[in-house]
Amino acid sequence: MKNNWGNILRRIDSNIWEISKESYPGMRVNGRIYASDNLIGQILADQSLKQVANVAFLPGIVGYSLAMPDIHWGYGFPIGGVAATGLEDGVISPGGVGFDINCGVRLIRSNLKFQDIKDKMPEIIEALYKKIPSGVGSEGIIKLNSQEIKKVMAKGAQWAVEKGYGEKEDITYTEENGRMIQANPDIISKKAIQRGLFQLGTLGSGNHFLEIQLVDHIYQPEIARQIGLEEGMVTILIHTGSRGFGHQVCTDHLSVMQKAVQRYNINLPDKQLACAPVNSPEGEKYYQAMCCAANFAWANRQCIMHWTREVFSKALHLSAERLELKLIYDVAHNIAKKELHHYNGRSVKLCVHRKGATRAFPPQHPELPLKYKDIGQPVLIPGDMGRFSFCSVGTKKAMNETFGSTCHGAGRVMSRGEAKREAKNRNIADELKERNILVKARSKATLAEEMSNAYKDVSEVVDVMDKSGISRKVARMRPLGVIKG
Amino acid sequence: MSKDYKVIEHMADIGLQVFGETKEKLFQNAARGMFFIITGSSVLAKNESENYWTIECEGTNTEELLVEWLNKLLYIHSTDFVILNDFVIESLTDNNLLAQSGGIKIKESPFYIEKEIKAVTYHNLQVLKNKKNSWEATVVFDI
Repeated sequence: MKNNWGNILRRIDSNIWEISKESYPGMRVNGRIYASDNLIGQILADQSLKQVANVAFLPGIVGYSLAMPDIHWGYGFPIGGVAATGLEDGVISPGGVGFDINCGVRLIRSNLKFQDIKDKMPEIIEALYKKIPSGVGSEGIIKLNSQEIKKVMAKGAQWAVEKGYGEKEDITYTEENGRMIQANPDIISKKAIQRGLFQLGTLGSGNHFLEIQLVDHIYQPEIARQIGLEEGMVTILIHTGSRGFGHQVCTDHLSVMQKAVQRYNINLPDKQLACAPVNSPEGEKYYQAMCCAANFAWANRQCIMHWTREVFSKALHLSAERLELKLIYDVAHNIAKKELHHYNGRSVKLCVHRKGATRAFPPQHPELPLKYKDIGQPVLIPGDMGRFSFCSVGTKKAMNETFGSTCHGAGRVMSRGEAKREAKNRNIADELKERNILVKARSKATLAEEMSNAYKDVSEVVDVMDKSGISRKVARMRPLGVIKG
Repeated sequence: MSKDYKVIEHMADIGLQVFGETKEKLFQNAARGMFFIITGSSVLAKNESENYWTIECEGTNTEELLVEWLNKLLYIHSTDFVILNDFVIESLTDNNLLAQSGGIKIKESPFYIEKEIKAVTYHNLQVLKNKKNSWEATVVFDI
């Protein structure tokens, strides 16, 4: 496999590689991968490059089938894949979004220094763990009925704020203002509704987490100042998505799309890439349903942020306002968006699939809140629980090269089973504690599967995008405490 | 590990290779394998099942039917908070399945959810009859 790819992969630049569309009959565009020499070596170890090639088969795909440096083997699309398709002649694919629709990240700043919370860390971690349900095999705190969940689908984070879970200002700093207006709750299946009723405000499991962090390095002081980050500041990162609701929405529509593939006579190399023309009834319905799930996810992260504020406030005997627990930004990294891009010398609306990729809009983009107009959109890139997370900003180059997209995280280098075997005689929680990182998880197995060396080094991933000029590093955060579902 | 199924690992996901002398056994073993992944243990004896659900599935072929079957079980698991351990296939054709499945409440079981399966995928999905005239399937889960 490695040798085959060695012949097919062509280096374009120090961190850019291409798979020519001549490599596999049926590819409509070239594949383009952003990766360093070291990362491309890791990427070659799985089948994700074949998946980059497979995505290039999608009707109406424009530019390239793109892969970010954190690319790894997914199902259908690689995780870390970006594909833009034409609205008139292109397709939309639920596989290009994933089951966890609007899995994403939000970063919260504070006016706290490590000294302020050092002694309180065990109490805060314990309280967060108790307050924020994992929702795995159990119900969450918020109980919705079938009418109320439709309001969540329609209004997203705005529903949460109206219900008292947060501040109006939070909405300003959420991608899409936490609400995609194309959501149509009337087309959502009873099953999806049923799965969502008890899952709002739950963290989930796997790689989802809530992390207390310390800003330990600033790369661009002026931009960091404008964003509101400084060295030594305590921050909080929340990583979760649309939970069972989104999973069911995806499942429902994958089934529809399997039939659509036959109806529209679409030739695909992998069933999981099932799709329908963007402007077909199947394509439009999926998009409207996906927007419902995206809104559910924004409401989910909003509720979790609200409880996080409550926990900090209670533990430190100061209000969230006094602690200046403000939302820096909230980004989706599993989503499809109909966006305006400059392509082939003209402005054109495209359907941009980001599956394990983050929007990275440049300065002056109309979608950005006023505060970030001159600096570009904050891009939040979580790492593993033992290393770093990053805040970068989007650039004009991202608009020109990657449809305004960048990486989303570390990306696995070990399967969960491999990680468990590797961690067999180790106590991951103790190892992290020795490095002053407190961890609370549902099980030792989760910790083993999510340990640092199961992931690529996120710094290397972020560096590739920084050196390529796609998203520029602003700040680095290291973990102080983590809760995992 | 059971001879009825084998867990296969992928980088970010997990899958099953399932075996069965008959198609009915194949579907039962796939369900058992899925709950093995969820709980990390070979699930409790059937006679501990307290509640039963009727499951009806349709598919354009056996592969789709298998995905539909597992997704329906997953749905019951995640909305009724149960571990399913008994799978009675009442009728199975190329396009339709009728079954009863029994299980117990997670809270009342000795089991713990080790892995939350988000969904059953169509990725690398395969159902075939092997040279020994026995059934084999491959199915990948998103976790």
